[in-house]
Amino acid sequence: MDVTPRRYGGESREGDFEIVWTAVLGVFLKEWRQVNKYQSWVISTVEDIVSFTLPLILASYALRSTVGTDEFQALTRTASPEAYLAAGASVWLWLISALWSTGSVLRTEMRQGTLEVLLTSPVSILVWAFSVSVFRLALSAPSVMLHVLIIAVASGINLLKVNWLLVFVTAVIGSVALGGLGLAYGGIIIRYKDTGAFGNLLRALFWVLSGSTYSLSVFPRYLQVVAALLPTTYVIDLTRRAFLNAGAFGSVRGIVVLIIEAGVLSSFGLWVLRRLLREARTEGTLSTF
Amino acid sequence: MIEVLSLSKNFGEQTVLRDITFSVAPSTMTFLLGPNGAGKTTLIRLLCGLLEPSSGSFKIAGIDSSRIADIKRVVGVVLPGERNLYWKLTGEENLEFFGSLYGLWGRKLAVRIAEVVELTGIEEFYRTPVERYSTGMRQRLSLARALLHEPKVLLMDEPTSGMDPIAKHQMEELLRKLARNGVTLLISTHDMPQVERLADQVLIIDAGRIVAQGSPAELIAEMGQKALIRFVLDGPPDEVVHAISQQQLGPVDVLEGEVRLWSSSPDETIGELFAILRQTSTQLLRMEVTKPGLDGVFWRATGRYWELDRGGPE
Repeated sequence: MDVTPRRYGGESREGDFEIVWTAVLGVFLKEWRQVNKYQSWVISTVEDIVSFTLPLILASYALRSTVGTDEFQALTRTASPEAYLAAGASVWLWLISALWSTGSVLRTEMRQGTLEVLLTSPVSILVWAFSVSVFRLALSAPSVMLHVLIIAVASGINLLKVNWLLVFVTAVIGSVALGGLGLAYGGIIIRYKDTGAFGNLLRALFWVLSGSTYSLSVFPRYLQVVAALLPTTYVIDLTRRAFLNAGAFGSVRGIVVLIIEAGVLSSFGLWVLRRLLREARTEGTLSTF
Repeated sequence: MIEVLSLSKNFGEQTVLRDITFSVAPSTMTFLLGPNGAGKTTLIRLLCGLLEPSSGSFKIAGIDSSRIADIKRVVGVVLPGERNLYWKLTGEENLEFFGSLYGLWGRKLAVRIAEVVELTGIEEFYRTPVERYSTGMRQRLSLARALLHEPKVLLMDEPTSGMDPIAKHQMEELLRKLARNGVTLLISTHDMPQVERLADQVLIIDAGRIVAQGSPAELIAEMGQKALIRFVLDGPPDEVVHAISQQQLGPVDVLEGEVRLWSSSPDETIGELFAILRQTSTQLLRMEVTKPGLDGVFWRATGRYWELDRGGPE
């Protein structure tokens, strides 16, 4: 037998289709059962709206017809500041959950001590981490729908006139792009453990730079360039366009950029996760937190 | 069933395993013994893919270590501690989830769960949440989980740690049953009486090296054949110890006033010892002769010869 050390070829070979689909179903069932042990997730669905979106809508109402409203409308090219703010805030809420879901899944498994036993199974880490992320995003769907309804009522948007195709396409491509960043963050959590502050800093930068409640034109030129590199900027902009029926050309350009970012970021995220997982295996830090 | 060749593992500058080579026959129980930090857990983690080796390789069921995902399909793993289950879920829900990670679903999964539940004897509690289980119950559920996909090899890291004697006995019966059913077991433990009861093969690891290897009977015959003669005198033992050394009766030392002498022919040695006592006019207060078992082998193999009967290193 050759004694040359052999690399394990990534976190594991993915295995056959049967294992993948039973694992996905198993993860969904397990997550649903865990969620159902406590029904507090229903409260948090409403809590987001009360603590985040409603204050923005009310603030825009309060500022209506005051000095600066015209400027705001001119900058954002919208007749409805309420819709502009609420749409951006709502999309942002969805974005942060999509962006960090993989990392939070891995962190949870690490904390409760189940990460290692999951890694002894033949299922790729990507399969179960991705499945949990999808489940959690699906669980946020009622919250997103409530947001949409409130925005529509508060700002007089006709939901029948919303470009739902654009919303759907943006959500799908945006999920891939943000999922890539999430994978990279998951790898960072596995390797470097105490990354809460780092994650919060990144989230703050994305929040400030993605234009969720204001036009990016308020930024100096160099910050506009940085903002133009972030996938969150495009997801927020495209969703807002879908709601406010803005120009089609900008939408096509945004989707093209988002597709490119999805390809680049998902490949990058996968690479980072695999590399950092291998480092954790080499250094024996998988079980530490 | 398991072949390990020149396996080494470094964590930075620290070498945790050095050039480990051994093999395990099918349907046998091999135990890893060694002091804390000897490298037992590291070896188990290497074999189940939680760590990458620094050098060397291994094969499990004929599958090379470069194909770790394939190895994971034929290996069941019981990790130490109780936190590797979902505590809010029931035992059954845990088994359903972990079974799904091995391609089990629907009727196939239900049948398999019923089998492992019966095999591990967890029928009475497996439908209650894991958070209500005792340590022994969780260990048995962990074993049931590891058996779901009918592994050929079972890697277990201290599976009876923290168990009461009854739970430990039940677990030992279960391990015997598994070996009889064709499962190959590699188990790390500190429980030497258990090893004497169950092991087909013992690997004693110290400071990352295998320092002794064989069946318990072979190891005792090879390394533990010397009896330990312990005695206490009514005065300072220096003169007697000096005489023992001069006459080369065997390795001798004094620990907390007690003289300890190892001998491969204790009857003869005791006769000579009494002669020395007469010559030195020394009175014997107490004497005890112990034929060491595997624990004696352990202490000798790990170089902790004189710590025997002190309960091990502090």
